[in-house]
Amino acid sequence: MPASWSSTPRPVTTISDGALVRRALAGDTESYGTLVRRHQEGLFRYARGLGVPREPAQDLVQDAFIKAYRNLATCEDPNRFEVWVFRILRNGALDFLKDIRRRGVSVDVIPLLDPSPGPFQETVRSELRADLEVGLGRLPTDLRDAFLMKHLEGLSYEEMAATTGASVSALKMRVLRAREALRQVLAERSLVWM
Amino acid sequence: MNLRIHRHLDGELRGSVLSDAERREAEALRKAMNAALSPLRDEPAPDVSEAVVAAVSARAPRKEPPTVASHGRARRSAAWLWTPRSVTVRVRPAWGMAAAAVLLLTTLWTRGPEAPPAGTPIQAGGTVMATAGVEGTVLVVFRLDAPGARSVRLAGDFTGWEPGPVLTQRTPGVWTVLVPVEPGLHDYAFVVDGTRWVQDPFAERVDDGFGGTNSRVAVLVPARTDET
Repeated sequence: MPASWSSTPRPVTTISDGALVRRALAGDTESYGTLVRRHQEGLFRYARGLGVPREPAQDLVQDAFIKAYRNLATCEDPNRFEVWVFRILRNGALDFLKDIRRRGVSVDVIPLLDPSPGPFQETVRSELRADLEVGLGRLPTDLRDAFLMKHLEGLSYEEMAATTGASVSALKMRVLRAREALRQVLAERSLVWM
Repeated sequence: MNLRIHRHLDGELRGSVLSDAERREAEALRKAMNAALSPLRDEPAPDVSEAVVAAVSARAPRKEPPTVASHGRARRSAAWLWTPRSVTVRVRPAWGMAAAAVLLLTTLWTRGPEAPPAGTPIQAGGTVMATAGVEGTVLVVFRLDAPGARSVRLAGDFTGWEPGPVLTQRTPGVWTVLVPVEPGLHDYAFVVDGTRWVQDPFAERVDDGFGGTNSRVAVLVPARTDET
């Protein structure tokens, strides 16, 4: 189970993704709603981590699920619906970022997180937000993408390869370089080695 | 940082085989990464399930939705950046009538003398329809006045909502394409410069089911004078 989802409270249901997909294919849209509720948070956080602002990220997640539904019959492994819909979301998010760049807006200026602080640990969150923006936000998209897939989504390298079309070794190198970049930034802030 | 630490972080190497220094380094980095990612994990995610269920419950049987990679992205980008780039669309009735006349002549010429004469061309908004298509289709001229555009393509239910037919700029700022379309109601839009989805301002607007609009054209079965 992807790490990001394991730390998130899930709807109370023991029905597998595969069973929900089959029900949805039979016309049960509420079962599809259960799939959406089950996986939307992970997709949203990935899009946000990639640098998509909050509102477009919400639209991307919504569109990804709608597109997935329209093509649900082509989902080869319904029990891995989460990886399949993630692939759709990822394509949309990367296209969005490409579109932004074509318009001459640097991803660096996209606020990664809301400017308003969270309800607790305001100071710590602010510091961590700065670390994330510096350490991850300035990574090239391919490195950030690989890092988030690995450490936010918890995908295996094989799943990442199937999603991106890149080789496992190339993806390992991207994750390694992302870790090194993050380590460098955090080390400069005396957060890693203290 | 050595590769053994990365292999450990990837789950390929147990912590017990690392040296104490490597283990401390790996653990420190793991904590730092988790700490850096925690704001993302803590950010409340919106619930889109109701909107998704409503959209998929109301889907039309033939029409595919605008894709994330195209329609939705263009709308989101434009809205978010607050940089609406206007596309000037001007109607030139004389040009439209001339195009229809040329189209009819071309159609008659290509079909030969045995072909039924085309019916009266119909002008619907910015799109000129002409008759005498092949195998039950109707040839339709789609037209958009878009000075400054670098490219214009047509997308509609008849292309699976993928940007398909490429419009040609035969006169400055005027883009056209001739497409065979089956008779009936069809929804469509123009894709300008690969990203902007532009409606035909002179066609009927219809809700696309996702908060936007499409253009709609009624393609009529042409009158066949040899059957009367």
